[in-house]
Amino acid sequence: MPGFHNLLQFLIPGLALGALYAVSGTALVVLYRTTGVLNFALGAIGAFGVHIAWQLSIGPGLLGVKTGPWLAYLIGIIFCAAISVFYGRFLAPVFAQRDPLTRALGTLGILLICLGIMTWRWRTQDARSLTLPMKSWKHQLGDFRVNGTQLAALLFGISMTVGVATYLRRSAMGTAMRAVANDRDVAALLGIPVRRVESLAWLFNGVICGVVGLFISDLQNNMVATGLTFFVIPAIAAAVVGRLVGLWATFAGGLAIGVVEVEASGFSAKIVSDYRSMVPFLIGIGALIWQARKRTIVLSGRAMQ
Amino acid sequence: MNASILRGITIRKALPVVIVAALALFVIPGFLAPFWVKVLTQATYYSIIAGGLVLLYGRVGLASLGQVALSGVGAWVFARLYYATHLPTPVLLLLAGVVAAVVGLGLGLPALRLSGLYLSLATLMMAAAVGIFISVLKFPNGGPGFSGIVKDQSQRKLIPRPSIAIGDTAFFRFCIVVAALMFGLYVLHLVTKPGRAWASIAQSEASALAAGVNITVYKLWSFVLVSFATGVAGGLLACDVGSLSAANFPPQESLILMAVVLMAGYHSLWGGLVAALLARLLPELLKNDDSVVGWIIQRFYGSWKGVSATIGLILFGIGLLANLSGSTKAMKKKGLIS
Repeated sequence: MPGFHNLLQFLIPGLALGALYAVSGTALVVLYRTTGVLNFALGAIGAFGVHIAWQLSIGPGLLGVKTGPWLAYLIGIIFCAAISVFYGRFLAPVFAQRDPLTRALGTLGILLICLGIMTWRWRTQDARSLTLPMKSWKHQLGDFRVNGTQLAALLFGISMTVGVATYLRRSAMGTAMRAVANDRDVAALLGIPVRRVESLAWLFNGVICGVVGLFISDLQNNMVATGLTFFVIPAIAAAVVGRLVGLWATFAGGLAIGVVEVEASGFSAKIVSDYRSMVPFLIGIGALIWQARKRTIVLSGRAMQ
Repeated sequence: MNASILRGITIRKALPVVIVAALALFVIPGFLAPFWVKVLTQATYYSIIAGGLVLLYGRVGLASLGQVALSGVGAWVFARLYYATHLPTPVLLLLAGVVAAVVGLGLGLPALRLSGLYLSLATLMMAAAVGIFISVLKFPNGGPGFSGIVKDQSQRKLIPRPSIAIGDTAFFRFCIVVAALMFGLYVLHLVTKPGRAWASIAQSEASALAAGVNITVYKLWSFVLVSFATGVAGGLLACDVGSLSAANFPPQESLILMAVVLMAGYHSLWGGLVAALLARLLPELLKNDDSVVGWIIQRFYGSWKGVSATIGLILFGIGLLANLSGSTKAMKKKGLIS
């Protein structure tokens, strides 16, 4: 068993990773609530953006253009937002009337396309990494060292979730989003610009994809297209803790998953540290089964999930 | 019992099966280059996995995103038991199937309570967990102990093919026979009582319950049956490649499987066969310039070096989106959705 000292040592890295799970989960929840689409492609879109940013700042450049790091990150994030909005504006409405599973499977198409282009254009054998400028900032906190990326990820996660929750509750657009989430048809009848509201949710989703992708590549010290793509699974686990609708539960779930996963790496027992990546999935499965402990059979009509 | 089985299988339905089986067994191995026989061997055991997903998703309405991980379990068990016992291949295949079926029973338990999107999420996460388990545990390569791993490269032993099917062509035929048996098992279930129970569950669980269908038993049964066959397919893969690694079961494979099954059609078991050809044959056709596709492109463009295999991923993504929008249009036409 690790001592209290060890637990503290892994707390900040755990919270940083957890905050990224949490904010990704929040993005999934906002999108699911507004459009009814669970975005399997969250990680893939983010990974694509990171690769674009890498190509522009560290790699040989894109179309002969090379930029500084910050502009590259911005372009990467805009690229993510563009893919996300394109899908939300032109493809997602096609399946809007289908069941939640079919709508989610549609984003699987985007995932495969992004992953295909990435593994084709950027071969996985070549090791790549992307380090954010703030990583050089280090702070000695007692015996432990905290770096800028960890702190920035944590702050980003917390401020984003608080901001989104407030925005949904207070602003007119937030009210419109909640209306669309409740009933798309009635909201349209009330004169709410449903397509525009949905596009905004997709835009938010895309931006979060891009930022989280950048943070994750830095925290993990490498960028592998498949690994970044499947970052979406722990994010889904966090969202599942909030039943895909609760922002605060999702946030807490994300943080908890991150902390438990990273803390497990401090255990001297190899069996715990080796299998620690399973933590998010076990929590997610547990949450799903716990929520479904009361069995309901729906005869017809739309069940509120 | 015989009468009820025969009622479901008519000559019109059986004839294409006989023709395909005859082609696969006697014609293809004689005409194709050894490389393409190998590719078709992969497609053959992949078709068992794809056929299983067709049965689960198309017939019972259970969307599982973890089938490839399950075949990894089958492959692991096959390898471990081979090194431990050296039993004949068919027996090992059977045992790999049985263990995968037990794991599948666990996978099926959430399906009793979850459906649709939530079930797909549960299976996706289980597949991810199993994937990590396997990649940490690693595949046995002839060493001692539970994990059966030996560090020294020179000590490693390969998993052999069955003694009756050492050569590539013979092994292809062996796979065809096993796949035919597995598909036979699927058909046997679909045309008898379980098939009718599954159809009624897929239509509406509430009416199935009202009609006296034991939902618990039949849902679990479908998972157990499909997991058994998927485990057997994993065993065939172990025989085929000889030495296994986690790279044989990459995490995206289960998602690709879902995409190709949706593209190929999931209402008929033929969809499983088409899906396997899409997933295994199509990328190779595009990659190799000695394939028919390569030959045609060379005729028109002069030269062609083949494209990366990952082009398959992009095509599957586009195909998936096209298929979903097509089926949505069809549903709108029929007035099923507004």
